[in-house]
Amino acid sequence: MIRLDNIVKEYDNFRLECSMEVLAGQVTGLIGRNGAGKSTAFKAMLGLIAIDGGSVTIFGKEIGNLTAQDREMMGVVLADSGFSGYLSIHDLLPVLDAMYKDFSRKKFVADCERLQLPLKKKIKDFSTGMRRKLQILAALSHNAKLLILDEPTAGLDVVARDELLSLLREYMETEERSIVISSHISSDLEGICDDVYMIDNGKIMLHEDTDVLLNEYGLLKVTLDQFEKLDHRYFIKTKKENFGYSCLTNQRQFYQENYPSIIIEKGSIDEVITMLTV
Amino acid sequence: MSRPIKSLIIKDLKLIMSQMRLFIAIIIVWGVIMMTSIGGAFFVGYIALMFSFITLGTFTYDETEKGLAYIFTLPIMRKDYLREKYLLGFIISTLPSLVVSLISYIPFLVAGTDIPFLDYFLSSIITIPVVLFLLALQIPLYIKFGQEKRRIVTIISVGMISACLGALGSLYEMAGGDRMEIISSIRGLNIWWMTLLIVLVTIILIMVSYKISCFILERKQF
Repeated sequence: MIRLDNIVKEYDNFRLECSMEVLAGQVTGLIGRNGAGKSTAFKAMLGLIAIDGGSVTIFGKEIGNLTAQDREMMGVVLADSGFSGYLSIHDLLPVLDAMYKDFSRKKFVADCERLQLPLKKKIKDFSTGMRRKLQILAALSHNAKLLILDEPTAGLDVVARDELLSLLREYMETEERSIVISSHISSDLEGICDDVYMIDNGKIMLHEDTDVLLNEYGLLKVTLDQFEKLDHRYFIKTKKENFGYSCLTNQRQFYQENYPSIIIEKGSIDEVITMLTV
Repeated sequence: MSRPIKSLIIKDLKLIMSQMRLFIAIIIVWGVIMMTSIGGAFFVGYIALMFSFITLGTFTYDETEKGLAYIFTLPIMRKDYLREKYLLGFIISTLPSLVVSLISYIPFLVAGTDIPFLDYFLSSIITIPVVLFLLALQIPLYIKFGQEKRRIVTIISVGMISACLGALGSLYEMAGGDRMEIISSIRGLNIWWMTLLIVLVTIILIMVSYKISCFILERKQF
């Protein structure tokens, strides 16, 4: 669906260098701290910025060769922009109707009402969460094959985040659809992504299947004595702590079986990213 | 009309209707005052100019909160966006002016004037191409510089164009020509030739302006 092949984008004090792939039928997550390069990667994916190297292909076509018809198969949420705030949802209906061949007006209105979005209020008077919900519903409204969602959960409360994630799971029930989603909230991605890319300082630090990450990664918390006696072969990263060392491994079971006395925490995206980005 | 352009036109008309009602009302009130005190031809120019501002206003609404970036994630190519703006500018500046021109002839008709309708009509709408020319000058500046910087650049560019024309005139005179002769020969044209000349020049300028806007927008990053 999407392929970023060694793309490079240089700014005065930031350089993005990354490769990633989003496969058909999969939800791929991009996680990283604020300023790690997530939005830049998304902008490159969408052709909103010119890249200095590498290539971006979507549906097998170079990004510059995508037609309006190709773009109809995409639904996009951007972190910091959206529909004009001077319009209402009611104003948007004929716009979306004219824009997309497969726009489902009835479903869109029903979804807006279900998520309690006022149809006649100006979007500029919406809360951040309401704006985000609107963008997501618009992205879901026209039978897109691919969703590109940059921080769709930012500004949403817990209930709204759950509602959104349910919508995305429902969307993925149809085969051959894909989502690429970024977030700095790891729990959002753990529950929905098939694989996750971790980005820091413009570089992909790790790419792993979510199941592998959650089931096989672990964080060993050991004293100095224990650390010296451990087999270091499967450590991905170690970090000095007050109590001794934290060690990130992708062979949690190995250490559980061979060193039953040490403390091993189950892997989570938060822990992995914390360890990889220090 | 393609789907992207149609959807953008609807969006802009919705924006205009929701945001510019007051502006349109002021234009009309002023227009009525001017029509009764000054006369139809000037009023048509005034309407065309004021409505062209409305088109430019839609750029500002698109730019707000980085909205332009979002527009280009939708099935809208950058050329579609520009085509829509030029089309909207043309429709919005021209249609109300044509209607006003026709309406403003009614008092002459009632009074039983001997002014031929076509002469009146052409003399009143001749200002429309001038307004379209101004619009064609403004759109690339909006695309390149945005709402704020554009004002300064407009002043500078109008100054530069005037200076260039002045310089060309001076060079022509230095080469033995007489610039007043050219002006007189243009003035000497009958209204049909004059209209044709103005329309042709305007079409060429709009095409050049569109090409420049495309060049700028295709390279713009968001």
